[in-house]
Amino acid sequence: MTSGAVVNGRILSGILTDGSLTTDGNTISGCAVGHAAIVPSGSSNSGTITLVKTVVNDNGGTKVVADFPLFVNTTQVNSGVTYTFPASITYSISETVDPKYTRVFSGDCGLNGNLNLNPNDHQVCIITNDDIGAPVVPPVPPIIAVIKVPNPLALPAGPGLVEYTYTLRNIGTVPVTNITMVGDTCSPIVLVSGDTNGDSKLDVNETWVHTCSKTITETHTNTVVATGWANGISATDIASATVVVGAPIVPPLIHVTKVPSPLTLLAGGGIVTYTKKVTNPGTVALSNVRITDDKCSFVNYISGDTNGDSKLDTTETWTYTCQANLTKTTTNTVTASGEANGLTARDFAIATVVVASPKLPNTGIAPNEKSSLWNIIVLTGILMLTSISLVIVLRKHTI
Amino acid sequence: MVIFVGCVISAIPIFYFISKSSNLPADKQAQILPIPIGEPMRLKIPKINVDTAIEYVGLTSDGAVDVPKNPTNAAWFNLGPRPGNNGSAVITGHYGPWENGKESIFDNLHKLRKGDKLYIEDDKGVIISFVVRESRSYDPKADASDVFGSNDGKSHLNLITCEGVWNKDSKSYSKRLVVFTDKE
Repeated sequence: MTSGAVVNGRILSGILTDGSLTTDGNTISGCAVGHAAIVPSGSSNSGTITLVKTVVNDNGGTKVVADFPLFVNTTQVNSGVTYTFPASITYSISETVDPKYTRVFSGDCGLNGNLNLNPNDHQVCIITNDDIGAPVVPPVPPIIAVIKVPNPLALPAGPGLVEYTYTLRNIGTVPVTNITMVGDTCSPIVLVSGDTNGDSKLDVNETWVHTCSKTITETHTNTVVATGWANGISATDIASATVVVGAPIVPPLIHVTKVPSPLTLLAGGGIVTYTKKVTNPGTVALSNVRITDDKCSFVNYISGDTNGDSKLDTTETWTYTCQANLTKTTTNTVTASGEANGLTARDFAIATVVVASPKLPNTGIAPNEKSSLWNIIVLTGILMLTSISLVIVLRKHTI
Repeated sequence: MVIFVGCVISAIPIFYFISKSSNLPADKQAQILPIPIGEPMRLKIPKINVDTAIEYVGLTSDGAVDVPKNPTNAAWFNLGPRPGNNGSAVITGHYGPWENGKESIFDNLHKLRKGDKLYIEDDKGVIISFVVRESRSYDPKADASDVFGSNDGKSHLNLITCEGVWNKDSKSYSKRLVVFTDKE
């Protein structure tokens, strides 16, 4: 690994290119814990960056996340892993380009991949690659949602054991395979329940529960990135949770899901309605709840603040919608944030809508083919006229 | 005379009501709704002497836009928007000179230039005019999603035909010509 970054976590599935951690989907090993990442008040001149890759193969492509090496400036990083970098710097996020794929940045990245990192920031940059071209029959994209809840949320007396619970759901319409969860800090993440039929697929409406325990010595924001696949398209969700150590401060948690309707569009595209649901999996009510969507400008609040106090209570689900006119396959990212006890919680939701496009028509007719056809028509006509004339003449002679 | 005066007097309240109505706020007055776009019937491109009937087509079994049965007709891709509605409507037409002097409908499509006009007559007799924005040449297997979709909230009509060199094996010309037009 190139200097300048410290890996803040571990990989449950995937390979670190520097060889310091090598795991596969069935093995959990290694735990490289770096510097403390996020703290409630600025006390260091560093921040963390998590790059998250999504891949859309809706036109026959076969690339996966690992086919697109990612870089923060010149430092190669892995999708879903959190790294600490010096703050007060604008970083350039890039990847090894595949000419057969488009690339779109979202999350905390600018459109050109620039990322401002201030002290104690935890920045998440999402890079989506879509194979160029569009399908005739659009495949249905998967959608997953992950929530992470630490227990306890605060360790006022100092370092202590924290159990993280990761709840992973399939909120789409197709089963999701090849589930991977890349988490930082805590190892091992153990599947406790949820795969009810034991098929290793996150079926529609299944909820998989994972847990992981770790002694936390200082205030830390822990991030997990869940990824799954269906129909050649990846589904990704990110969850972060902060545990405060050494102060009686309960940090906020927030969770957002986004479901597009429809998930696919025929040639020409059309209007898609995104429904976003925001919940509070923590223990303190959230104020200043904000929702932004990078591809859907006007996000409308629909309902959910049942007691009308403008705070997202732990029992409430706030619903928002927005509409977008899509003409090509689009992956968009919604960001939800809320505040409590002087801290801000953020969450992201990523959803893809696949838009079909027909092939261009073959309108050409070969000149020779046309002349042959015309010659046949003309010859047939002449022969018929000749035959009719002959018949008439013969009848007259007969009479 | 009495009848005439009576008619005039009885008409006064009606005129009064009309004049009052016209002073009502806009949201209280009867709204003039736009006439819905009808289905396209004829395509007229004066620059290249095209005035033809329009067939309706969908997709072929391999997912390509279908073509008109008659080489002198054009064909509207009816899985997309109608010409005149928001989005990119698509009309296809054959290409290739006929030996008997009869031409395919889009033989001269390549002669269209930016600013040239074309017209669609719908089934209600309404004429919708479009102006050429640009022409582009595509590989037959290229990503053509920009031909079939637009998200600027405006109405476009894109004309497609073949061009290039005839390939005997694939029974196809080497390129596809797309003329992009915008509703005036």
